[in-house]
Amino acid sequence: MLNYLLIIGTVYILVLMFFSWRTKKNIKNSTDFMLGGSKIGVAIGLMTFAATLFSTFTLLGMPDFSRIHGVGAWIFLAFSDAVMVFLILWFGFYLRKRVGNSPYQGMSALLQSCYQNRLVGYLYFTAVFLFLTPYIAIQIRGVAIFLVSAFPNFIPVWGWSIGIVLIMLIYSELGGLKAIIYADSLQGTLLLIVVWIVAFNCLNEVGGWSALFEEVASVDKKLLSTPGPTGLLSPQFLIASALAILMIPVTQPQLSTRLVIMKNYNALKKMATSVGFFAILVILPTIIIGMYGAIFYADASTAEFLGSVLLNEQHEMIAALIIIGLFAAAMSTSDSQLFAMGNEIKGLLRLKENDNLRPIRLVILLFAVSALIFSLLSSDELVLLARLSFSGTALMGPMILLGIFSQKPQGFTMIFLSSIGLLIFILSNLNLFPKEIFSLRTDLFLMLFLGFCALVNYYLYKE
Amino acid sequence: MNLKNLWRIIVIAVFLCSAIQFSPLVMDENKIAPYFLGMPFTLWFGILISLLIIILTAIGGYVFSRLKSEELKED
Repeated sequence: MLNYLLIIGTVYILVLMFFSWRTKKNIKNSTDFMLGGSKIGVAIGLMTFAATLFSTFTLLGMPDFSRIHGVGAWIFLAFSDAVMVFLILWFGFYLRKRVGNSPYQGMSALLQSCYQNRLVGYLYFTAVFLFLTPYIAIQIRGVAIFLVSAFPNFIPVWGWSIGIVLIMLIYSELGGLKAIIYADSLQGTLLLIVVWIVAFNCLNEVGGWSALFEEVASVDKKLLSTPGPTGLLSPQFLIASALAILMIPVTQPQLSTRLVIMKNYNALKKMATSVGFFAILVILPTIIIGMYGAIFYADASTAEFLGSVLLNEQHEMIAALIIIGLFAAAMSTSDSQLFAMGNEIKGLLRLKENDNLRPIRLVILLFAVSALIFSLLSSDELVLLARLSFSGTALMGPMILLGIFSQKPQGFTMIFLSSIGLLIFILSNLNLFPKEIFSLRTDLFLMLFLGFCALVNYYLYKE
Repeated sequence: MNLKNLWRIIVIAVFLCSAIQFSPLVMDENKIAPYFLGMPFTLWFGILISLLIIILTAIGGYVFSRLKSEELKED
């Protein structure tokens, strides 16, 4: 496998270097570097949005999640993504209208302008910093534990993790957002091909589509419905997850940036529909792989299951392609997030076109180091960590929507309530606050409460 | 039917799809049957309703951009 890995890896690095070289010569100022020229068409828009959204969390996390919790994993991610793309139509329009023709300085600066309050920008940045850290950590840890399975007794998890972070930093530093977007396109295509090859191999092994579910039923019937064998996929969990995922383009800066830099609304609406279809195409095979895992690796650990299905059972060339595909997935998602954080800082510090980018680079570095440390300390439950990230940032959703849709500043109430909500959510995750409020999960209660408050706030200010 | 009403109908349809997906009718504990194309109920119904929402997104995108065509001229 090592030979295939060297060949495919070299080709991949050469392609990345080419993208980096091609985009670097077009960078004239910090906006070109941070926003990639802001003229993204449908095809590239689809790939960069999808690659940023679907990462190691999808390729590694989802098969493992559906292996343990069953077919309800589809509702958890695919259904939620479908509703999310619908929201893009509406939110994308108003976000682009708000930004107008001025260069996009990030959501923090936009919120400061909407609310005429500097605190709101810092609150948003804090939430994003805190809850994107586990999401980047997932990418690093996912690939690192996978590489340890591929090359046991070679380099420890922390060694791979540091290597991954270094490559991410170097690549984002070299070519700017446009280079990342091109790398995303490559990664999106690679992810789709790889995940279907593995799924087809799983189906062949088990004897076809119908046989897959018959075998699963004989192992544990609970895998074929909600809430699944562990009872995790309850309606409350799935509704809270859907709300959190729905808010991703609103609250996570790497995705809201992509809505802004699309060429025009026409391209954006086509991109939204295409992302919906792409989501179905990517998530379905992960369910197949998960069901296969439930049959043959029911009691295996995450690393054993993924190592066996994605590496040991595959042809050496496919296994090498999977390793590169996973690495590419982790890199494109993390780079996008690192970059979005840089843009947020640029907006918060009100840096101008030709200002020095050193503060941005320092924040990117600090963010990457935080993610690296988190990745070394976190568990292997990639999907649940991703959900924590989605829920944490989703709490900022009502405040953002209120600011974007309102014609005039909306006062301080939502900023105050959102910061209290964020504090409660953090305390709840640290087991310092109850996990339920009025029989509702704390995250679900907070999302509903903040959503309701934003509506009341809107109508009060309207009058 | 004017575009504003059409857009409202599409939004209501998406809300309705979401309500159905999370209703006890669909989320009934351990409901596996009826099977369709070899898939258990939770999966095929989930796929169907996700596809429906994506189709509504495609139609909604067309309707919404027509509805906001004046504002989009500057885009």
